[in-house]
Amino acid sequence: MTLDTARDTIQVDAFYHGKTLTVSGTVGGGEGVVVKVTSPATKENFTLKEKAAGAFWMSGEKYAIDGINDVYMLYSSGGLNAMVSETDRRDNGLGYDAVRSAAAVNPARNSAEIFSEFIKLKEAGGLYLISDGGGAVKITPSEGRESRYSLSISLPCQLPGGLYRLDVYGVKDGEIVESASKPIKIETVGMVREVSYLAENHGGVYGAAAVAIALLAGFVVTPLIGLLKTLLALTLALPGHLMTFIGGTITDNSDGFVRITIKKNETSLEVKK
Amino acid sequence: MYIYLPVAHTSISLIPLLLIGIAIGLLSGLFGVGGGFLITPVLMMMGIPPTVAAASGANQMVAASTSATLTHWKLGNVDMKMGIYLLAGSFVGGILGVEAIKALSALGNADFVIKLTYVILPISIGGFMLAESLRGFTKKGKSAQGVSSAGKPSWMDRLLSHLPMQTDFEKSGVRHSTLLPIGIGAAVGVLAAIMGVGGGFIMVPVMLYILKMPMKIIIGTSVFQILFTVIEVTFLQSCTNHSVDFVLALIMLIGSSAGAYAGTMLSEKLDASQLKILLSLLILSVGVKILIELTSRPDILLAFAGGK
Repeated sequence: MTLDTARDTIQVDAFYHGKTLTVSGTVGGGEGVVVKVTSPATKENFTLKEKAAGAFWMSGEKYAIDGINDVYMLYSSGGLNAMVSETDRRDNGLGYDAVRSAAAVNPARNSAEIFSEFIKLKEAGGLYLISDGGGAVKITPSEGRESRYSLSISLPCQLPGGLYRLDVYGVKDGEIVESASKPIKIETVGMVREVSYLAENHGGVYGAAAVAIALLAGFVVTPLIGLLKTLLALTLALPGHLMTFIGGTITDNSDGFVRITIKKNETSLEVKK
Repeated sequence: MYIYLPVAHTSISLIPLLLIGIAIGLLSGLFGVGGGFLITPVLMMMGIPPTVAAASGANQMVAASTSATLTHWKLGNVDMKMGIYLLAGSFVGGILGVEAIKALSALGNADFVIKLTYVILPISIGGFMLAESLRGFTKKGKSAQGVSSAGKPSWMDRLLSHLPMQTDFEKSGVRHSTLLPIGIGAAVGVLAAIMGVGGGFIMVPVMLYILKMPMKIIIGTSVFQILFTVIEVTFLQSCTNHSVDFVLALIMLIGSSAGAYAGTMLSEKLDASQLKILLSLLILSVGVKILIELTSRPDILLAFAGGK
């Protein structure tokens, strides 16, 4: 099995709005393909919203979930559950059931409800996704014993920077028969990296600069608008001055017409106001 | 066109952000409120994390309130003396409010008190202002300046006139004890600290009904005071939570500075009773919105708590 990607590093610049990662390679003939993108396993803290005083929904008990990926995206050439046996799914962390079996919810009570809400929260933030039906991974039979597979992954702009792992599995008769993997790096560059670094490591300087620039903008805008108003007034007054300069006249008649006369040949034009 | 936000770690469309800035600036110039209670939920709806939304909103308000203060200053609408006394009080109140939150957290019911304040305060203030403004419309001649129809001062006026250290506030045309604006500033500062907002929507009605200041001077003095509050919040949020996204604030402040100028000009064209009705409706709608949010079951019951 081979695994190729158009790029190994995704650069996040000032105009970044997510990127498409093209994944392709060869797989044994007759095999299905599952592709998984994950960030390293970590621990995250959450609060559960509960009803207080029978009226208001507010933050209640705190929960920690350990052994979860901050980002988890999975694609398959057919339905995951139909393609891969439960044992192989669990052993290779394929599907939300496998993610749940590897995670530890603390405190453990209501862990099923907590995990279900956790998945909803992650999916709403664009960090968890399972694209299972409709052949998300395309398989094209080729000459010989191998087939080609391809997939375009839309990496959302919310993905945090860091090192991700791309895993590809070849599946036959419900079992994973081969696999390949490679790291994918998401990194900030240029102005994004500088601002991010300053905000994180030099909060005082960053805060003072943010206040100073905002103050300056507030100071500049009022005179600027005043200047624009003056320029606009000048532009509106200019035609009258121009006519005087070339020896013409503009007469505002009371009948709703403006008469423009140029002396040289006594040509006049009436324009409705 | 999309811009990537280096602290919020997401990208956002430029045009809606500029429009939000203009709308918030307009409110600031028109009513003398900071708009923090509007900007945070709107940014959250656009996918910005709550802490970044609140801190960056404060940052962009530095520009809007500078622009609004300057314009109101030129129009002679800022009572500097009153503003400084109120500021001194709100500074002390802010410290007391933070301590109150700590004490409530230790008792385990801080969240409940905060949410309750969020509901009760805007609805009661907005409701009172609206009722009072509508009464003013029906009873022409009855002034909102605390003087009864017979021209006699109210019981509150008589009580306040007996406080020590009476002084004239020439710009507002009122005479009060120095202790009054300091005390009011402290009380609003406590509430603002508990609610995590600038407090403009509390301060404006207080200046109107207790300090009896003219509406236009209230707006100018309120934005002057908000300027200092948002500078403090921006700096503290940058130092402690690293949650100010300057790129996000910069885009919004371009719109909000211009919006604040337009709002100030518009406020000159509206009379005090029109401004009062519009502001009361705004405050009331915020209270109702928060009430609906708090009583409706959230789509997702889990929320990120931060930390690893």
